[in-house]
Amino acid sequence: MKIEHINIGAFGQFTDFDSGPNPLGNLVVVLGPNEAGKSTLFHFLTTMLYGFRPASRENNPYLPWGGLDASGDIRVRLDGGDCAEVDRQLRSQPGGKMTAEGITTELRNRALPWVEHVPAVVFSQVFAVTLADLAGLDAETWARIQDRLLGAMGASDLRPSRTVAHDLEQEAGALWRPHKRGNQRVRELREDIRTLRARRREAVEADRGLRHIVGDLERTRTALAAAREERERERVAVERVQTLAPIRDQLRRIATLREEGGDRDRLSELPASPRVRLEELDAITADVTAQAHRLSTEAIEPRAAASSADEGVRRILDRTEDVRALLARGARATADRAQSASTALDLAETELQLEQHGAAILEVPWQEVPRGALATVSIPELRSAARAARIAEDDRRIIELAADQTPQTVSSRPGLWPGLVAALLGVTLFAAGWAFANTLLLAAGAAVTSIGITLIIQAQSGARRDPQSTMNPGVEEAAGREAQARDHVRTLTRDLPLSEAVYEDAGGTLAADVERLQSLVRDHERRRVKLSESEERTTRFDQDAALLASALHQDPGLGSDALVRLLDTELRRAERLMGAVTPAERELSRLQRDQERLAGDIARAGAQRSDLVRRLTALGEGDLERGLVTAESALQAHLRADQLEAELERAHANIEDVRQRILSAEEAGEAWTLSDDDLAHRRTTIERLGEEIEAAAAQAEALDHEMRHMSGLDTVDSVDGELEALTETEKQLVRERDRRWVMAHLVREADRRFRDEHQPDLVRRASDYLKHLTGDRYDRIVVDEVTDGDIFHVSGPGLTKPVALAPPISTGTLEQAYLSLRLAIVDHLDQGGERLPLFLDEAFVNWDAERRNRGLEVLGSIARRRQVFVFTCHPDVAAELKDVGAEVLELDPRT
Amino acid sequence: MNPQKGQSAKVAALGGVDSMTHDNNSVCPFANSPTLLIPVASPMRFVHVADVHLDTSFSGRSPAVRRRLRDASREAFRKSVDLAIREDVHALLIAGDLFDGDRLSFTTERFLLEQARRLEAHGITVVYATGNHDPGSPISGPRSLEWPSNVHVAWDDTPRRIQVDDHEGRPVGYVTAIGHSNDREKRDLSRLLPRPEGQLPEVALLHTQVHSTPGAEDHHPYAPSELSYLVRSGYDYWALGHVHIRQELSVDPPVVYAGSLMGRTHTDTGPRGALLVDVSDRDSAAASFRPVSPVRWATILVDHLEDATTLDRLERRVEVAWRALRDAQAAGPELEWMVRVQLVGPCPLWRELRAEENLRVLEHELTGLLGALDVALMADRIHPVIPVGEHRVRADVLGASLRLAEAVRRGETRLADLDPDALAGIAGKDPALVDAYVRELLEDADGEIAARLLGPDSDRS
Repeated sequence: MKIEHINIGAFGQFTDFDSGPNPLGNLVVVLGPNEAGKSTLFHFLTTMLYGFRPASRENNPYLPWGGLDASGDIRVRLDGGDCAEVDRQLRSQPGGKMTAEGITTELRNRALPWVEHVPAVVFSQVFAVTLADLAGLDAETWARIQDRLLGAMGASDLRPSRTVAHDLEQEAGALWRPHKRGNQRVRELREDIRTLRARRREAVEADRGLRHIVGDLERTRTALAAAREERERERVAVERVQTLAPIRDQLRRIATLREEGGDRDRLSELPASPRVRLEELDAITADVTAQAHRLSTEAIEPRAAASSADEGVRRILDRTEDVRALLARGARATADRAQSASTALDLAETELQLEQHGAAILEVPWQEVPRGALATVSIPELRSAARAARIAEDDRRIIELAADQTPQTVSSRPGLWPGLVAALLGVTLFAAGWAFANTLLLAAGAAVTSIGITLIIQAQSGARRDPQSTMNPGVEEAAGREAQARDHVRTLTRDLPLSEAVYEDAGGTLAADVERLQSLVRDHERRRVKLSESEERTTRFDQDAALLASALHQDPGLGSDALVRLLDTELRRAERLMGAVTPAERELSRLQRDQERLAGDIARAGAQRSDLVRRLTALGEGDLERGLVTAESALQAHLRADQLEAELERAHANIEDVRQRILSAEEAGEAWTLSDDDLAHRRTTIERLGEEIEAAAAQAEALDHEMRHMSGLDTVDSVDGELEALTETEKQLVRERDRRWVMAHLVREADRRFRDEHQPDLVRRASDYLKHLTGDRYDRIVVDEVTDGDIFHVSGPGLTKPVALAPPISTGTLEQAYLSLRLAIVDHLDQGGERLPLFLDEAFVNWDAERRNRGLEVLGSIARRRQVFVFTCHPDVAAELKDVGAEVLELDPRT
Repeated sequence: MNPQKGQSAKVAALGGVDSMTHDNNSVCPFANSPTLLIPVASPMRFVHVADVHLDTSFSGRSPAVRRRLRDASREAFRKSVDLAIREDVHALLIAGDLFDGDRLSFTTERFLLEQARRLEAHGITVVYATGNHDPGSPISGPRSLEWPSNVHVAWDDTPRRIQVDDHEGRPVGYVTAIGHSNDREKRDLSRLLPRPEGQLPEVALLHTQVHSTPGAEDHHPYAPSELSYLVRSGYDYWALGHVHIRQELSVDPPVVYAGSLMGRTHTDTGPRGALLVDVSDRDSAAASFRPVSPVRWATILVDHLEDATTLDRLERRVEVAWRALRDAQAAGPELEWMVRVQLVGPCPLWRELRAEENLRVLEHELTGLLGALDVALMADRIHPVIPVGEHRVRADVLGASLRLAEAVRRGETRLADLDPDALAGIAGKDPALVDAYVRELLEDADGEIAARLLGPDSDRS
């Protein structure tokens, strides 16, 4: 592959750079001072072949200055002669396309298909080696270069395989090594496991020991129980003789006393001392009898006081409430009587007025006037009708008079004076009647006033009357109106038996008469009712007073007023008497209760005595005295037995238990006596057994303590569990160790195989290059990976043995050797694929003229089969290369 | 029992063994159908347990956890005894491996005798056939204990036919038991049992490995037996022990492994307990599983960890997987869990999880987060998040290393000059064993090889 044309739109410091119209040749010298862009141009070409790396605009270091998009294109001529145009740019995303044989393909950021056989990193590192890589390198850097060139074939993204293998071996060694040097985790674990196995043995022993201890403990406890049992037996025997025997004697004495006392049930109802009890009962009877007599004496005086209250007193006191109620009603009864008398007088007066008034206006006695008709007559309406009748009458008379006296002068007519005088008189009378409540005056006043008013009206009417109205037809008409008015008056009073005379002067006092009649009748009715009510109350009071008097054995005929006074007096007297009787009665009651109690006491004492005598007589078989002696003897025996039992219970809280033990011993036929020697021997035995028990108990406690202690120790299964856990961990670590160790082995072997595969051809080619470059001084590169130390050596005709490719060998020779290796690697890498361009940066600076010429020759030779770019800042180098056919591409530092 | 019926019996459970994410329930018909009809014809009720493994050396990480597990195994046995008493059964059958080793601790021994005496007080017969873990040694083991009179131990190859009575002393059935006299019993002990006779139910009690039993590959093939022979033997019920997965090998007659009473390791996942067998009617009997283990083991596999870039995220992933497992098992809150978390595949935290200290810290946090008794975190199968396939084609040492590792795993080549003595985890120099071991070591090594050659930031770009 050859790059024929370069066009940089923008890339790093380049803008609008173009290699020119002519295709670039196989050997191109890029001439420019430092910082002119030689490195940038190399990266541009790499980018065109492999794409942008890094692909992000933010991280790409060759983003054009001034914020432009990185872009450019190249034209390449393939080894087969075909041509391809490649165009790439880096905007937000990297983009690119390729046009070959008229077909355009989107590349995006992919590498060209003709360069894929060499990875981009390898291309960058192997196809371009700078002067800094080849000159003045120390041993560490040399080792790195060696790996880079021959191990990783220049791939700088890999760590040296020997380093990786070394690290893995170190890590594996930290876990386990065949020898025992240094810390090894697995060996530590195995040591722990050995320790645990020892602990397991201890646990087994501990378990065995625990079982022994438990056995010992059980045996000790058995022996202890046996000793305690024996000691108990001995102790019981001694106790039987020393303690139980006296108790047994006492129990026997009690039994004898019980036997002497006989059946205790027959004595159960007897007192402790029957004779004394008999005497006590007699004394009680006498004493109580005396007390009863004294009480009878004390009751005389209160009894006399209590009898002073007779039957009449108690009777009236029993009706105290009724008497007080009657006394309260007495005052009201007196008032009712006075009111009845007054009302009767008023009623007689009213009847007299009715007689008089009725005679004046009625055709029948007033009692026959229908009350309903009278009450329904409307006085105002009647008064109005009467007034209308009177006016109609006056009108008729005036018309008739005018007709009779025609022509008459106005002055001849009666004047206003008679009317005014009559009216004033009437008003005066009415006022007097009102003031004195005199009906007659009221009626007279009203009548006179009416007359006066009539006269005044006539006088006025006569004055206004038209002289032409005095004609006869007017008289008739007036008479008609008068008759009509009178009829109306009659209609209103048609249900009243009024005398005809009243109607004659219908316009006079008719209304007043009727009204007065109504008033008198109403007064009469009201007074009659009032009189009746007061009389009824008086009668009822008199009856009640008579009844109560009869009940209290008093004379009811005394009259109610007298009875009230009598009962009041009697009640006060009775209350005064009862104030003295009540205390006496209370005292009498108390004395009576005491007497009753004493009577009971006397009866009980008598009954008890009788019962006691009966029992004693029965005991004496009919003889009281003998019964008394028998009872006292039996009771005494039981009393003594009780005392002895009480003493035993006080002395022995567990007397029942003791009794049972005595019974058991008796049933077992145990001896109750021991000889002194036997007793002493047994005591000694008890002491000895006590000591043995104490020792055995201490031993049991110690064993128990030890058993608890050993129970808390490791058990076999717990140690086994720990062992298994450690063994499992050890297994995992061993596996991990072996894994790392095998991986190290694998990496080393892969590295070796890789070298074996590539080195023979590579070393041969490198040796050819070196031989030519050094003018046959060095004709072979030797690789030594067996011994520790430098891998590469050089040999030559003048050398007795290969010389390590390392200082103190000259820098120039080192550079020539490694350039030879590098050229060989390049040939090897793209073998079978497109031959990619080679980039050299100041490669011949440290070389002498002869070797530089040979180097140029080599370049010329290489350039015949591979395009070579030589970057230099030295114009003389450029000139020399130009002499061997190189094309110079000069970079402007201002580009 | 009709032998002809027995010949037509079928193996009821042939499912797979415990997987990391599934319970053993998957192979046990009792799990989904708690009541099993068994065609027998006489009244007899008993509890069938096996593989109690008292004094198992649990390999929990802390002494407290190991102590709790040890106590829990006793608690499980005590609950079995409670079950027998509560259900008023006639017998408790123990199908071997009551002890885990040849020696019981003193405390466990006392505990065991106490439980036996409890059963004696309730008139319950105990029949115990020894297994390979507790063979009938006269010095230690079952023969050395002073059992109460209700306990009958079959400690050697002499069959013992024990009459089982009800509480009124009337016989309700027979249990014929045979035991292991040593821990390497190779004979088929089932062939030594006599053919049953009589009208009452006949139960056979044996610690055996029936051929082709799921899960049998996890156990030594001691006292091997043939299912076809067991089915034809004439017994009404075969109470078996040895295989820890509860399963019914035959329905008619029932040939049943009760499974271990409590899980011992992370391979013993799922509910564990006893079988309550009711042979009240020989034509219609029932057995039901009763979980008694207070501790359950579970293994959860957490993969696709590419997004687990922090320990918090990793813990959340584990918690989600844990909840899914708990929901699936519908376990009560009183149950305690021994959880193993197996991390698998590419994980950005692979380097941190290679450090043992970090693992311990994470385990501690997960124990609290999951509310478990203990959590074991396995991070040996994770690797960096690296496109290994892309690197494998590289023309450099990395590519060469990855290709070589693949070739070794495939057995196409061997690592030259590999000294077996330099390997700590394998004894001997048998090339085949060494190669297999190396292949296993390199099983998930590609990611780490690439990461180590690419450098510290290789998987963080």
